[in-house]
Amino acid sequence: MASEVPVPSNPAAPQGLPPVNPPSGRFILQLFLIPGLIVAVLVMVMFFGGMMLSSTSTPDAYLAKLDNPNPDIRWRAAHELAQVLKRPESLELASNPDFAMEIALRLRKAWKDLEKAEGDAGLELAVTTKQIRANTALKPEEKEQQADQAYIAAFRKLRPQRDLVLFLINSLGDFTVPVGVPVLCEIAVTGSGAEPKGLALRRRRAVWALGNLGENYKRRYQGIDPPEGVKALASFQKTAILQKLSKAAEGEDERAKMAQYTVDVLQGKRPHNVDHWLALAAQTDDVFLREMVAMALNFWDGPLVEPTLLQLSRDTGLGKRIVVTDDD
Amino acid sequence: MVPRGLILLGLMLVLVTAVGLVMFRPPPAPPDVQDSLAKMEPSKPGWEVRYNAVMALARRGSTKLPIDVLAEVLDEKQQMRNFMGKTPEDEVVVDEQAARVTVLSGLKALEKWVANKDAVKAVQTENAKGYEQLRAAVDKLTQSPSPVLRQRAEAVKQLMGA
Repeated sequence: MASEVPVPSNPAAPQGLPPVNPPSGRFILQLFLIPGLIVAVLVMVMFFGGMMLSSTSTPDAYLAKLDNPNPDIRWRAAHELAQVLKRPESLELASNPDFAMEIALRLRKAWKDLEKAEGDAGLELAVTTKQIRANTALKPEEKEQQADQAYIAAFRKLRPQRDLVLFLINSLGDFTVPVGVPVLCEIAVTGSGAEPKGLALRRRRAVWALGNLGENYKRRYQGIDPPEGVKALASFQKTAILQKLSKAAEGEDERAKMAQYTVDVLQGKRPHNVDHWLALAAQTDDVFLREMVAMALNFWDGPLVEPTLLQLSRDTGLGKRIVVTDDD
Repeated sequence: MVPRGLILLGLMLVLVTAVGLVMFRPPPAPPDVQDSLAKMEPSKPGWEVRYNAVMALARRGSTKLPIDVLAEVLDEKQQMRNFMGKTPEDEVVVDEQAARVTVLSGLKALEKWVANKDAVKAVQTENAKGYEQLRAAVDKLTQSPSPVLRQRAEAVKQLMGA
């Protein structure tokens, strides 16, 4: 008879494994409470962070920053506004006529202040340049170099003011209501200034913004051929816009005139006249500006659109090619 | 065993050499496209203004569309020449993408214009030769090396009834 393999007398788990016990309260705490706390903290951060973000995206918040005495805060706010208005979810902000009017008023003031500052800088520069040229101790090439450096220094300090104006111009182009048309058109046709590059850049931006504004007005306000994903304003939204503008048009100040112009254009009571202004802007000797005018005329109608485009379609390229870089 | 191993090694070396030659052989010299482009004249100054204006006119369905300018926009080789420039290191380069985007914009504008029957009729009556020139430009684009341009040109050709 073969020997049998002895059967272990104890069928329990072999030695070395821990005994199975129900989980203790402490264990449950470790397993659920701490991760739960982490998730709760993250949710709170996202929730309050979102609230803070939305509270900084209101018109009043932007206007407060644009009125800040610090020029760096002002131009950064304008830069941020220009980015925010482009977003599809900002349709309500971009259709707020009161906000658009406040931006247009601030642009006009900033532009006029900048023109004055450039004029003053130009006068100081003239005195400095005269002194450099009168300095007989310098060689001609040293005089040129110092004159160039003086030029750069004179206008570089105006950078925050310039940036503010440029970003406000961009912002007005991203609204859906043509509130900004008068001030943008004025900037587009202003052909004289103390600093040629700054002037050229402002005019080009203004024409570009007019093109954007024309497109937004057509697609988002009038609802003509909106591209996929772009929401047009509903009737009740347009009614609300007209009511706000009609209320703002009571008075004689600049704001009231702007509101009256806009409500008349929206109701078809007067032409926007953008074609007339762009036809004027097309008379420039800045070749790139003429190119921008041709692009902007894609988005506006009027009796002068076709004649201006026909004239530009025979352009000979005569004039100046003013190159503006980031250093300018 | 040893001779068999050596034979296998030899075969493997032959295989590796063949694959290496295929992978690392120098590519055949491309046809000298840049030379032929450099011999062409770029479009007359102001072409950027003219092109933007004519495309805006086409999108509006203008009855006075300058056909000659639009035909120039649709000339792929001419646009390659227009977008030929030099790097700071003096190397000649062609911005092919910009050139093709220009041609494509022209095709899209023409597509919109052709939908306006009154405008097409007016231009055909006044300038039948010019209209044929435009049609020929579209036809040429159906043979473009760019599939995007070929496809769009085919669609426009159908609309023009060529």
